[in-house]
Amino acid sequence: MTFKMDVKQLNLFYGDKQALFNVNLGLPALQTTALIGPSGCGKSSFLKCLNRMNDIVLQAHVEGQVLLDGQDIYAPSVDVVSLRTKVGMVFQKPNPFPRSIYENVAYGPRIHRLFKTKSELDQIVEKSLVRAGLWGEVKDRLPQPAMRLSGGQQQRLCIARAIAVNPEVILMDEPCSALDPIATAKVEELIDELREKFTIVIVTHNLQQAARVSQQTAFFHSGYLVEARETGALFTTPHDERTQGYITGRYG
Amino acid sequence: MNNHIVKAYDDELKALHSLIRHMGELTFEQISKATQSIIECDAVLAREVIDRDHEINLLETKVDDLAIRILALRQPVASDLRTVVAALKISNQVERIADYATNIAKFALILKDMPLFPEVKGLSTLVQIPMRMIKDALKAFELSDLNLALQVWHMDREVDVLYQAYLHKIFSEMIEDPKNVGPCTQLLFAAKNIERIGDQSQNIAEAVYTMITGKPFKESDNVKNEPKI
Amino acid sequence: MKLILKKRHRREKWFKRTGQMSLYLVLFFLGVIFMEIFSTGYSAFLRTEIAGGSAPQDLLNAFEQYTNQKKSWSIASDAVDMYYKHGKLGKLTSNQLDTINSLKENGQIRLSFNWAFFTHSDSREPELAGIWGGLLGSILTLLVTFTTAFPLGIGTALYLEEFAPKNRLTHLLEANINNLAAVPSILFGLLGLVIFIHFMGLPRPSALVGGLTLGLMSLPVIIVATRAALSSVPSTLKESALGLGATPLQVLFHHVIPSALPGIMTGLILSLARALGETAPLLMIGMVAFIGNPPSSFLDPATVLPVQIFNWSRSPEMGFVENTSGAILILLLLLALLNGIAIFIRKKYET
Repeated sequence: MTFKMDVKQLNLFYGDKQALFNVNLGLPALQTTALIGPSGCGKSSFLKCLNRMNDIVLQAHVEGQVLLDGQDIYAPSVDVVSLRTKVGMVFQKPNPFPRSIYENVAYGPRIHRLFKTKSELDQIVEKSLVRAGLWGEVKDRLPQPAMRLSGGQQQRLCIARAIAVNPEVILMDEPCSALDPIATAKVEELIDELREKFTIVIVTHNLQQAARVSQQTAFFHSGYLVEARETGALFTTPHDERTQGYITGRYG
Repeated sequence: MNNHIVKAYDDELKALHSLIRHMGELTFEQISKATQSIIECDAVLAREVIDRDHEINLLETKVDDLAIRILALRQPVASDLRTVVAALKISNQVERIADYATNIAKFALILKDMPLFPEVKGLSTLVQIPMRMIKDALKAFELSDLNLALQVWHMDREVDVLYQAYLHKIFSEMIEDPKNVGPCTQLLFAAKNIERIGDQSQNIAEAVYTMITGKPFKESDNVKNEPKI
Repeated sequence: MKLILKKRHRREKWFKRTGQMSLYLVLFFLGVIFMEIFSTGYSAFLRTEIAGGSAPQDLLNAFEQYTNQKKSWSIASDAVDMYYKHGKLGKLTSNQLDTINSLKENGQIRLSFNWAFFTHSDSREPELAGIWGGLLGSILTLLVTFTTAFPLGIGTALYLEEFAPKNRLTHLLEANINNLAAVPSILFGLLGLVIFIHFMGLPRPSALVGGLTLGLMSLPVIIVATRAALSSVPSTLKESALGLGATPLQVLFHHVIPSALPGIMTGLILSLARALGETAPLLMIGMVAFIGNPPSSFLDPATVLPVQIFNWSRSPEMGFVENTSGAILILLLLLALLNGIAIFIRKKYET
């Protein structure tokens, strides 16, 4: 199988504390990979390694390789800014900018100068909102503040904002944890549709959600990648005792 | 295996197991009584067996209800999911076995009006292994005992051999004296039902195999490495 | 059980009552102060005028006369002013009293709005003294304070909050800045005296030196307020912008500063309001001198409104009592205005 991203022998340190130990995981192209595990197991840290968001934390230090299309993203020649246009991110709490709906989506294209004329920008905004399944709901009120949208709409707006810069991989850090079941279902449906164009990695505490949206599931436990398999297989016949204990609710 | 963090979940799974165990014990008794009623021409016992069948049907719906409830409320995964699914299958198969016992009891009611026939004793030998099979299959389910399940699976061959032998005996009786054709046909049906009990028990063993390993049972994988009995 | 509940309710009630009582007490004192200032001060905005030629010179102010198109009116001396407004006899002789009373009967004496109070600078004559010099001095001083403290304060806060490495040195620095915000303001006056006048040799009671000194004083407050505003910007906002591939500088200018701006502006305006009302450090740098002319540049000798109030309150003439209160009213009005702007900005950008 060809991997869109391939993580090899990844070790992550926060100061003296090691957060990830020898993680090896391939992310198949145009598939959704779910990362599950108890709190503090390193799954979110792992996610942040994939677009170097750990660079914000000064004491974070990474060893090993993270390959994107065969190129190590931690190589000194790699520009973090252009990396993040290829690997976008959606966060736990919907966090639109305190600006208009339009400006939220247009922000990425603006800072990366992805358009020449205003009408081109309009097209990018519309296309992204359509893809995020939000266009019908907001097309008449693009100049309104994004903060007035509901939580679920805000999260889909954040997804639209992320895909506006044409990423290849989208990282999602518990994108539905602040949403009600209907809004969650909409986002899950969206994730399934986005799989046609994007490789998706999603961190979730909701095992059913991992089972529903992903094709591959990886179980992390205290900094180690315990088991990563096809989702159906992992949820019916996990190989490792710890995985079995965690997903059946016998953990700890 | 550890207990669940949610105790009620454990309790529900235990209840599921105990319902199946209860169903198994009852069915075991039914088979034994049905066979006895045929051999001893005991119409009262046969009627008792027929009357008690609905108890087992009731238990089956109870198992189904509880399993569906667990699926809906606990959304089990991995071994829990496989256990619940196996319970659903097994309850269905045990209910079928109980139906076979009822059938045997019904033949007893027909046979009691016919002349006594010596070969009827052969049924008690024939029923021994299927009874052991259902007992062991359910034990394998309860204890998640893969080896025991495989043993049960292989026992069915012996049942087939004994069944064939019994058929030959009955056939030769029928050829010897055409008067025997009436009761012999009934015995033939009863023997067929007993043989089906063995088949169903083998199915239970396959369900237990799938539950434990997570793989569908394949005959080719398991014929060669027959476990020691 | 019931008893405990009852006791708890009683305690809560008692606590609430005590709080209410203290609030009312504070409101009462505040009311008394305002009443006192207003009742003494309002008459500073009025002055007594006598119709031209109808009164002897000793009842008139010697230096200035006011003419209108039909009839010329002269400004009455402060003794007449006090008698006409408040019925205080002062040093008036009985002859003078008779003259005033006859003027009253003929309608040749009147009260009119005291424009001079706003357009004149300080004077030895209370009826001629105005706040213009002090007001202009205050404005020039605040301009200097604003132009120095604002960029320095914001720059320091931005560096400390967003770029500085978090080590022992910066921690020490932070602690000291917080302490500086609580240092008595007169010490900043001393600092200004040493640095700006003795060391740099800038002209003594000028708006420049005053503004720089007040700037020094405002710096820690602005830094603390700005840092609080910056650190209250949610980190998720920064993360999401970084996640879109914005550079740290873009994140700062596109998201962090706009979000923190209301907080920064409020802090700035409140610190300017504090500087506007400050006297002590200015006394140290010699801005307490009597200045008769409004300053025409930053280097001219100048005084500020609160210092002028301070000077007036020490003057013996009766007329200065109401002038003092009148100037206090103006100062309070300005402070209320600045605070109002701060509240307006905060409300407008909060949502």
